[in-house]
Amino acid sequence: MTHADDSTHTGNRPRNKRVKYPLEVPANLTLDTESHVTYIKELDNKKDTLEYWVTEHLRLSGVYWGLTALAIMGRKDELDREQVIEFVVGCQHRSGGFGGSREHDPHMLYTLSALQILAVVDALDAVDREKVMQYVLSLGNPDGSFRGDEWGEVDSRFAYIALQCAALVEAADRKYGVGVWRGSAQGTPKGVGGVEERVEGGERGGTASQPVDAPSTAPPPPSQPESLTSPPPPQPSPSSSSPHANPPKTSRLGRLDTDLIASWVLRCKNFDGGFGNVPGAESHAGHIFTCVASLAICGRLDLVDRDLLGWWLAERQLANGGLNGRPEKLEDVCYSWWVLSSLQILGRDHWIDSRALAGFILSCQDSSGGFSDRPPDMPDVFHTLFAIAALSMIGYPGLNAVDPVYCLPTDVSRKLGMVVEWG
Amino acid sequence: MEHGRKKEQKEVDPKILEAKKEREQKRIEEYRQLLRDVRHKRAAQERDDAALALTRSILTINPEAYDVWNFRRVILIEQFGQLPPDEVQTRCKAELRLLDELLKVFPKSYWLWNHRQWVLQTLPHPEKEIARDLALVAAMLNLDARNFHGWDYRRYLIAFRDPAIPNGISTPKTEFDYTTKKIDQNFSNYSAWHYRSTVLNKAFASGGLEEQLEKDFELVRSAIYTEPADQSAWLYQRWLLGRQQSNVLSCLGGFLVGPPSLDGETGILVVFSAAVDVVAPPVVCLNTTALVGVSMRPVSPAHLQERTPAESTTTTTTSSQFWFLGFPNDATLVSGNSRTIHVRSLHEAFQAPSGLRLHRTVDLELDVEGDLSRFVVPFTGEYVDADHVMRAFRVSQGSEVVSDHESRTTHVNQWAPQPVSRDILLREIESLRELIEIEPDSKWPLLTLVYLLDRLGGDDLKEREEILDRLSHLDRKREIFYQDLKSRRRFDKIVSSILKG
Repeated sequence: MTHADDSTHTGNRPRNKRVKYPLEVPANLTLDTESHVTYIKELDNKKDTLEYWVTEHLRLSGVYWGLTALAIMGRKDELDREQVIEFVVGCQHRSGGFGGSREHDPHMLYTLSALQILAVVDALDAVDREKVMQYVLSLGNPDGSFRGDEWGEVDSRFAYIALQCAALVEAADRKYGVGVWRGSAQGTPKGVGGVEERVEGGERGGTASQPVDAPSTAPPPPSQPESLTSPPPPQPSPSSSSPHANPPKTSRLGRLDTDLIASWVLRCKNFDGGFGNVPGAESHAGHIFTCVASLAICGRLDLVDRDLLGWWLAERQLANGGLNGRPEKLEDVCYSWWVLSSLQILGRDHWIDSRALAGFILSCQDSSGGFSDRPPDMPDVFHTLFAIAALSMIGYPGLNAVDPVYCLPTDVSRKLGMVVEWG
Repeated sequence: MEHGRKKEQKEVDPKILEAKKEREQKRIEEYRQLLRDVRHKRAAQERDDAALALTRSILTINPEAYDVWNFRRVILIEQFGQLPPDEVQTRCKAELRLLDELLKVFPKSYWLWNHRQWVLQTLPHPEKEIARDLALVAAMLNLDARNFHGWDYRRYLIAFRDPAIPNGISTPKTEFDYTTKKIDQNFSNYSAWHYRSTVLNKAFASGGLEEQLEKDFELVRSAIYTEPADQSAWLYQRWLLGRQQSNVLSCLGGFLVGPPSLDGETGILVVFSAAVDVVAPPVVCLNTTALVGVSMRPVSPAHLQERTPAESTTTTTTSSQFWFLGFPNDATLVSGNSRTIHVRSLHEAFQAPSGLRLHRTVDLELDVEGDLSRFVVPFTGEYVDADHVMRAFRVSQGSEVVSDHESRTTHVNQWAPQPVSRDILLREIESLRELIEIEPDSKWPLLTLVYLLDRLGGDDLKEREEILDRLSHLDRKREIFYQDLKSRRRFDKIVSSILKG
């Protein structure tokens, strides 16, 4: 993996961008930051709606979406940091994976959200990262693909999650030292009983847990394929590892074989240069993002046909400025992120009209805060993050930069020394 | 995350508002009580019918509650363990009917489709349900022709392997015909065009590809004349037309070769776009275990060279376009159940005498069921049946390398099922010019014309530059894209004039 020069603010972004903010934004279309901050802060006070309860299973992702949107708006302190950390820690299972909320089963989707939240609040030492990596590695297949959980669903999203988890864990290990976290004695490589105590002490103590009722017949318990794993690297003492050290180019990221993963991602590639969620599946902007960002983390963007895919992505822009995710479909604000981040990683984000896109995104603001997929639908926190992140990429004034590979504030990925080459 | 949730009209009447709130509170209380009950059951490890009914009640309200699905599967697995197969079959069918109902309401829920795959894998006799499911998913694609979950599930069913249906439920030709049907229903069905690109080569692997390509050009022409602004057919046409042969070394694929009986040498024949040398031995794996004692030698029978692309004329005694990787004498390889043979990291193993290397990572992969000899192309010593090789060649230029034994490479050139002749290029250019006469402001024929003029070659960029300028005006959102295409062509022209000296 190749790390870009940390001194640049946005990775190796080309300097010759021809479309730049400040654009002339119509006066009635400006980002109403205050109402979005209020909207996000109020999300946890909606317990009188059924919506709140039927989305409980993805609460951890909800926190990631809300917190990251706040961070991009420069307002991450609006959420109580300690409360956020406590919630994240309470969602971890003995296996190392995280559930979507307390008392929910572990899954890759929420494991990444957990680490992303901790990265944003600068608390990746709050959990046993070795356990997290063990969980991630346990879901790897010999062909380089990853399962979402023990039930075996394979999807390019999970390969991306594995890679970003590994990048975050590697970065945090450089920062805190391998095996050093709040539940471990300082300097002791492995936390002893840390997760167990923490988990038992949390709300989920005494409730059903994974090892007790794991399926007894199908599917088989995930075995750790040899091709994906290698012995852990020698553990440097915390003092000897610089947080900004750039490791030499290698086909490994921690214990992940990035060439193997890249080869599987490439099997998802299609006739139009795009990628689907599994080999053979139709190109879809969301899955293109997970595949392109995966290849960026693997340092294998050479495997993408930039001009062909860049053209296909540019054709996602519709007359009203919004972007769709597949040909001949409706626009949706979340594709502002999936398409634009992919274009930016490929160095082709100037191939669409950012001003028109900004106009469409801003038209999706709800009068009481938050963004919907398209007007006049209901706002939700998922679309709110991807709207604000896309506005940041376009260069809307007053927003913090966002890393197109990790969907984290660039400030976070830069300080962790995990910025990869793109653009 | 749910998309397209319509905003409700704000209720102003306080009485109605109050009543609405009350109803909502009641529903919340009921839902939370169900959750509490199911968690209690799970904690107490009570995997009984009452627990199963609870999961059903919750999932009917909220099919996204993934851990409730998990618990439901745990209960079912335990119960099925104590039932005879025919009862398991009945119970699984009931589970599929539950999913039928839920998928009608939530056709885009990943968790529902996951659970359906699990049920299929759990069925003692899946073959009886697969045909029914294929009809069901076809009905769903009639309602929403672009639901990618539906298309993915169709592909899952097609790939489903079971002893009762050893060759699967459908052939590549059937699938190809299905895409024709869907495209005929609606030219705008990009999902169907996509699927067509993946099955075209397989459907005509044993002949008729060229005739079909003619028909596909005709199909595209009907589509673009009907609706020139629709992207779907244009994107497919670009793929059909392919692109200029690049100066890039690539691996065209590989297949198993051996004598008709397996007493002699058996191995993998790997084919490259040009002659290569060995730098380091590639890793050959059976499942995940590397095979020890793989032998390697170039194969270059004269009659093969005659039929290979022009690049290979530089073949010497040590470099070849064809490399034979001989298997060690390994019984587990020759017979056994399903297993996968991989050749890893070809990009590290081979390079051209010029020093040119494969610019992509290349792995080969082959799934073998049962006796290896069924997959082997007849091979004796230095002699390879040229017909087999030519067949592999033709197929390998498409998106997937598929011999008639289902071998496939993981990385191949995704472009074009066949190189397109100059005659076809000229004919398509002619057709585009006619369309531009009728639809002068349609951007797609103009852009396609630029690419086809590139393919014809020639240093005169004037017409192409004029079209690209025109496109910048016609399609302002992508103005810079067209200007980039223009400067790229100027750059290439300068570079090529330097190379020519």
